[in-house]
Amino acid sequence: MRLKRKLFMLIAGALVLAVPILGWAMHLGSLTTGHPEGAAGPRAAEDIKNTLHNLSSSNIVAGINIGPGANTTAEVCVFCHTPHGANLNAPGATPLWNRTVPNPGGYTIYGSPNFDGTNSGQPQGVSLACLSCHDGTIALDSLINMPGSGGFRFANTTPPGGTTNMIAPAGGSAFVDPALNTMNNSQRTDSGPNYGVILGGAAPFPNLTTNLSDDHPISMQIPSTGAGPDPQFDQLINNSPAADVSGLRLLTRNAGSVNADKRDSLRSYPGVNRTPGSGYYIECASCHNPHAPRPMFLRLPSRYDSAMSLASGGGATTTADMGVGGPVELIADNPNAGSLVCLSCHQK
Amino acid sequence: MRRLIVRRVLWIFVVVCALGIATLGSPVWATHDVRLSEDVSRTKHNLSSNPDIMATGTTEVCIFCHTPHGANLAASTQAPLWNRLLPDDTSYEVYESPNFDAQDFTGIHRPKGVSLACLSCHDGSIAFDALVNLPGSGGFVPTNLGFGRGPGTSTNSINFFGGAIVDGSKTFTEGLRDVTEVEKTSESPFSGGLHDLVHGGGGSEGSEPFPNLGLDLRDDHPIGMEIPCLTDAQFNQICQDLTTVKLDGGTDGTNVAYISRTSPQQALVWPMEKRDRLRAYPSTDQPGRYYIECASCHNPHTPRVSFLRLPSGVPGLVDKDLAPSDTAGNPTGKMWGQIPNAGSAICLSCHAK
Repeated sequence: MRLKRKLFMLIAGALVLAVPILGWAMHLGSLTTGHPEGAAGPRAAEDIKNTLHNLSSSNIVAGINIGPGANTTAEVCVFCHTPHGANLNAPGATPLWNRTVPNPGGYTIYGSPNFDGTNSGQPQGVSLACLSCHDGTIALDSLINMPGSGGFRFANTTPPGGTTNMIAPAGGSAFVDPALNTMNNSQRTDSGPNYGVILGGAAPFPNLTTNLSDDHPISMQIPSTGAGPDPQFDQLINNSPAADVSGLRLLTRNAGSVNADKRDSLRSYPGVNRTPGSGYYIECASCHNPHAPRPMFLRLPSRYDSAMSLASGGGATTTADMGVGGPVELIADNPNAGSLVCLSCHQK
Repeated sequence: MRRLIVRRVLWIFVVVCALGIATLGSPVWATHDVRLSEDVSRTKHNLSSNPDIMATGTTEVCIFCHTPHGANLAASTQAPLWNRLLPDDTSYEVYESPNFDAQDFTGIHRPKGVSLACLSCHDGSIAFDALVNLPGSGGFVPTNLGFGRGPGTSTNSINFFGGAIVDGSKTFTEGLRDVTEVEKTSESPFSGGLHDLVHGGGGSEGSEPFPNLGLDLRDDHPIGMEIPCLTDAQFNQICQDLTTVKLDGGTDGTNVAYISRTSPQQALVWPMEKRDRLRAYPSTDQPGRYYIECASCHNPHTPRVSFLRLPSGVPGLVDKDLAPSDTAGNPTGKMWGQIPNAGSAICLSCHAK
C-alpha cells in the first residue's frame, strides 16, 4: 500500500519534472539552430542571411538601411535569383538573375596612361548583375519573378524596370530613394562601419553611379595579351592554376596558395562567350563575394608575406591565416590587412 | 533494504521516462501545418478540376500521368508507371554559367528520368492527352510509348476546355510569360493546391506564370545536373553521408538520397514525412553520383505552395526567418507548411550561401 502510494507520487513527480526538462532540452535545441555569434569563431565562407545583402524581412538586425520590416517577403534569395523565368539578357553571366539587367552602355569607364588592361569598353557578365543594384539606376525591387506563384513581370527583364513595391522604406531611408526605390545618390560619406556583416550604418559606396571612372576597372582583361604585357602581372599569369571547365580561373601570385574553398578565392572570369581560355577578365566578383559575411564582401587574399606585420597586431600572416580556420583577428576579419587582396594580383 | 533498491530503480525509471518525453519534441513544421503531404485530388494537377484545363471525358485523376499496366518504360527507373509520351532529352537548351561546375557523365546537363516526366507536360511540346493507356479497357495507344517530339498522338475521348493555357494542339500555350502580369494576393498562399481551386479561378490567379517552361531551360535552375560534391565547397554539407545515412534505405545507385546540410541524426533537421524531404536522384549508371531533378524540390502530388517540398537542415534558421512579417515587422505565424520557401529556406537547404 505504502509502496503503491510512493509509486504514484514518483510518477506524478516525474510528470511535473518532465515539463521543465522538456523546456531545457528544447532550449539546447535552439542553441544549435540559433544564429551564429557575430565575431566569435571562424565565419563560413558564405552566409547570405547574415550580410547587408539580406534585404528581406528576415534580416536579423533592425536598422539595416534598406527598410527593416517594410519588406514584404521573408525570402532572401529572391531579390537577386529565381529558380524559373530568369533574365536571359545576359545569359550565363548573371546566374538565374531575377532583376532588371542594365544596358551595357552609358557607363563612363576607367582610363589611365598607366592602364594596359584590355577592356570590353563597357561592363559585361557578372558585373552587370552587381550594377543592377549598385549603379543606382534600377529599383532595388525591380524583380522579374515575385515570391510564390502568379507574380511574373516580364516588363522588368529590360531597363529601366520598375519598382514592385517589395521594398518600401518606412519613413524613408538613407540608402533608398523614396520615389524610385533605387539606391540613393550622394551616399559616399563614410559615416559608419563598412563591414559586410550587418552592423547598421551606411557603407560608403552602395551607389557606384554610372560613372565608373573612379572605380577599379571591371570587365578588363588581365594585361597578358592585346595591348601589351605589364610585368607586374607576370607572377599572376604564370602561377595561377589553369581555368576550370567553365572558364573560371582562380588567381594567385604564389603557386599552390589559392584558398581551398574556391568561394574565398580571387578569380577571373571568361569572356562573354564563356569559352575557357578565351580571356581572363576581372569583374566585380573577382574580389567580392556577395554572399560572404566578410568585411566589404571581400574574398580572401591568395598572397601572404612572412615579412609583413599586420596592423591588427597579429604578426606575420601565414597560409593558415587565409583559411576560414585562421585566427579571427587576421584575414577573415580584415581580408585586406596588409593590402593583401590588392597584392594578390598586383606585384607592387 | 529491498525498499531502498525498489525506490532507486523507480527513480531511474522516472528519469529515463522524463528524458524520453523530452526527446519527443516534434519538428516545428509538424506543429504548424496539418495538411497532408500528398493529396493530388486537391491540387492543380487534378486536371479534371483545374479551372485552367478542365479535362472532361473521365473523372480519373492519376490517369493523366500513371497507368497500372502498359506504362512507358523509356524512363522506367524514375518516372513511375508513366502513362505519357516522354520528350526527347536532346531537345533542350540547358543552363550554363562561369560559376556552374556541375558535371554530368553525358557531357551535357540534359534532363533525366523524373524530369523528363515533368517536362512531358511542362515543356509545352506534348499534348496533355498523349496518353499510353486510356481509362478503362481497349484504349492502348502504343505510338505514345518511348521518346518523341511534337504533341504525340492526341486522344479524343478526353477533351480539354482550357482557357488561356491550353492551345489547339492540347499542349501548354506558348508565350504566356510575355503578356501575363498577374499579382499574387496575400490571401492566396496555396498556389499549388486546393486553395487556388477554391479561391482562385479569377483572372488574377487563373494562369500561373510558369506552366510552360518551353524548350529553353537556360532561365531555369539546372536539372539533370550532378551535385558538384568534389569541386564546390558550398555543397560539402549536403554531400556528406549522401551515399550512406541519407539514403532512403536501399542501396547507392538505386534509391533517392535525402538532402540536409546537417547530420540527419540531429533532431529537427528534416521533415518527419519523407515525401516532404528534398532529395537527390541516383545514377543507375554510376553509383555514388547524385542528381538534382525537378522532383528534388517539387512534389507533384502535394497541396503545398508551388508544389514545393519542405526545407531541411538549414543551419541558423529560426522561427523568425520562416515567418513572413506584417508591416510592423512582427511574424504573422505562417510557417513552412504554408510558405515552404520563407527565409529562402528551400534554396538554403542545398546552397551553403
